[in-house]
Amino acid sequence: MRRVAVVSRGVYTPVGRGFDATWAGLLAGRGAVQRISRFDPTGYPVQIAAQVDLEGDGPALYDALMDAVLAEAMAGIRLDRVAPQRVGVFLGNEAVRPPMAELVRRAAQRELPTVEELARYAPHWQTLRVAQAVGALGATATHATACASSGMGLGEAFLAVRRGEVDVALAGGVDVLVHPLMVMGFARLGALSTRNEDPGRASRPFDLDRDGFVLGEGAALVVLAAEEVAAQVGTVLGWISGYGCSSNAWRITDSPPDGRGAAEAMEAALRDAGRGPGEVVYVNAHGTSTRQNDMSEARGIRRALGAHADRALVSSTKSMTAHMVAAGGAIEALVALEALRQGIAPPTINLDRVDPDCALAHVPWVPAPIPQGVAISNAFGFGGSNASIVVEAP
Amino acid sequence: MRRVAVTGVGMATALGRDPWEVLALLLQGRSGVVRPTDERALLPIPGVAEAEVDVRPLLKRRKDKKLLPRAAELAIVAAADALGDDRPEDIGILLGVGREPTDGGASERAILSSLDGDGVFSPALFGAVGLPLYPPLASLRTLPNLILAHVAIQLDLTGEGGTRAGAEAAGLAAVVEGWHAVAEGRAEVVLAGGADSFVDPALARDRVRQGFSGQAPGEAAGFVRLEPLDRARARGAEVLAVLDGGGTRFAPEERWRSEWEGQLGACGAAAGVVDWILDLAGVSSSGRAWSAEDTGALAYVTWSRARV
Repeated sequence: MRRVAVVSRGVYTPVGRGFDATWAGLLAGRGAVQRISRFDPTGYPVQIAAQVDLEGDGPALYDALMDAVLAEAMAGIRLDRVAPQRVGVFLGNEAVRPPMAELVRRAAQRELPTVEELARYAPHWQTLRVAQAVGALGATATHATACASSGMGLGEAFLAVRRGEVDVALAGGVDVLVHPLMVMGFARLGALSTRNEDPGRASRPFDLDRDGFVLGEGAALVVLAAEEVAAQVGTVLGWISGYGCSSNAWRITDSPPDGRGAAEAMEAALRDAGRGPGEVVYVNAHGTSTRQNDMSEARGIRRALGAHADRALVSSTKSMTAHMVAAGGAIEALVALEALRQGIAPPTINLDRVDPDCALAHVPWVPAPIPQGVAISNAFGFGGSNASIVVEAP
Repeated sequence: MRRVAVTGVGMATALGRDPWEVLALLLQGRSGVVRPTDERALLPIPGVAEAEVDVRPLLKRRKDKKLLPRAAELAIVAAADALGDDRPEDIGILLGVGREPTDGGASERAILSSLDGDGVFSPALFGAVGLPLYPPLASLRTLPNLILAHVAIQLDLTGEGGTRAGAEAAGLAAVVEGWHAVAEGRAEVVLAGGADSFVDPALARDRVRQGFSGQAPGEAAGFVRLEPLDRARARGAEVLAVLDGGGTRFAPEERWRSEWEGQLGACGAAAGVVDWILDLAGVSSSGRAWSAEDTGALAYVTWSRARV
């Protein structure tokens, strides 16, 4: 089977516009959680989120985010050296949330979205849009697995390149969660932090005083290429070497306390990569800052890595970016790869007192050097969809 | 690469669950499309094609039924039929789904309660009045992967899991993914298929208003059980077919319509898989099943019996 290289990337997060800005912000420990400014959150129990610095709302904002990461990822990429039938697109997205004004008008006037609007709001819209933009005629897929979406998209893209189904694959996702309905829905679930008076401290994965996750938004696009064509298409930034996924089959809103679903995804990814637990030097955790997720994931890491869990560094960059949901998996896999490339793990900010149920080799507040080895990036979705990806430096 | 066998099929359609019986009925010209007697009778549609299923015997707790979107009810029944009695650990499930399930009008009610005296939307009222009207689980009902989650929970499927979003091609695309997972040794047993439902009165009305008036709203789920051919032989399982190939691609020029849409209604993401299962119930010794969407997504599988 072929090796699969990461040859380019585009990222847009609340922490930074572009991958380099995001990475610099993460190393600096710069959190992006603030009072919501896209709409007036007065009266909401949750009034904080991490927003990107783009104007707009609804599908236009999704398009703008995807256009930005597409432009960054495709800069310098020579897709003309690959047949269009050998280029695939694998995104992970949820449905677009229409602008609130549109939802209000429809509700008040009992209007329906048109067929064209429905198509534009569908999860697979961006997949087809990207395929058209780059002229890809190969395999396409849209994975809609909530917070695991773009992680699964990236994983399936990796598999498609490795098995020879395509030579080049574009993978990633986009999500915009700072929307009144999303804030309302997740607040009603009791899943969000209500630390409205201290937003910078609200996202605190694995910390004893965490009280929920914080909504974010962002986009990522990764260009993968088979080793044989990687140098013709772009520059080898690193490798994806393994992918694993699993279902919790537990409960709709909770994760199993013993961490088995998370562990199965990580174990499958390591098996797929032909790597052992002792080779893992860094885990970019899903780390949402909810008690249920963090405890389940921490136990999953222990199950998967065994005694090596005391040595592999673990951080959650959601402490800074907040939860970018469908877009998060791909972004965090790129962060894990860069950590290996640079030999330094970005920190988990706001991690003052580690929850005893989450004891791991955490990286609180300050980046930490990491030795040579492989890294795992986790993305776990509501409903129990789990994806883990193993990355390696060039 | 391992050869992959189809060792089980399950479906829930307007003409029943047994693929061989459903095929016989279809060939006799029977239709599952009937004139509704409720508010849908007023719609300019040929009728609706509803599946009769009772998911309750398969649920761990009877009260779980109220959590299930309609497509999940169909999917649980069809997946259980495809799975059969051989249930090793870590069975995978890969599912193609269509339009996002709705929140049952919860967001609309919350919005309408947040209009001020002049009929203008008030964000403050939305936070104070609308929010308490929004059931805590309403937003989760709209996530496409929740259909798969319900099937996984009820049938204890803890292996490979993934949801493909799309339309008519999504179910077969999930089958392609399942084929790869088994062929490459990442999974031993996988259920793969699609589930979709358009028969809810509000959805049926919406589809008419959106221009789908020529179609009968339908619903269905279809699953195949995939496992290595060697494993199937070792346990003495009946092998319905061997998968010889498959794939997905972006093909905006292709147009596809289910062979049985006139009798089973429009079944969205389940349509391609249901058509294929009906092929398997027929007498052909090999075939190529495919489905495509207006959006350009296309999925196909090739299969045979001769090489079994």
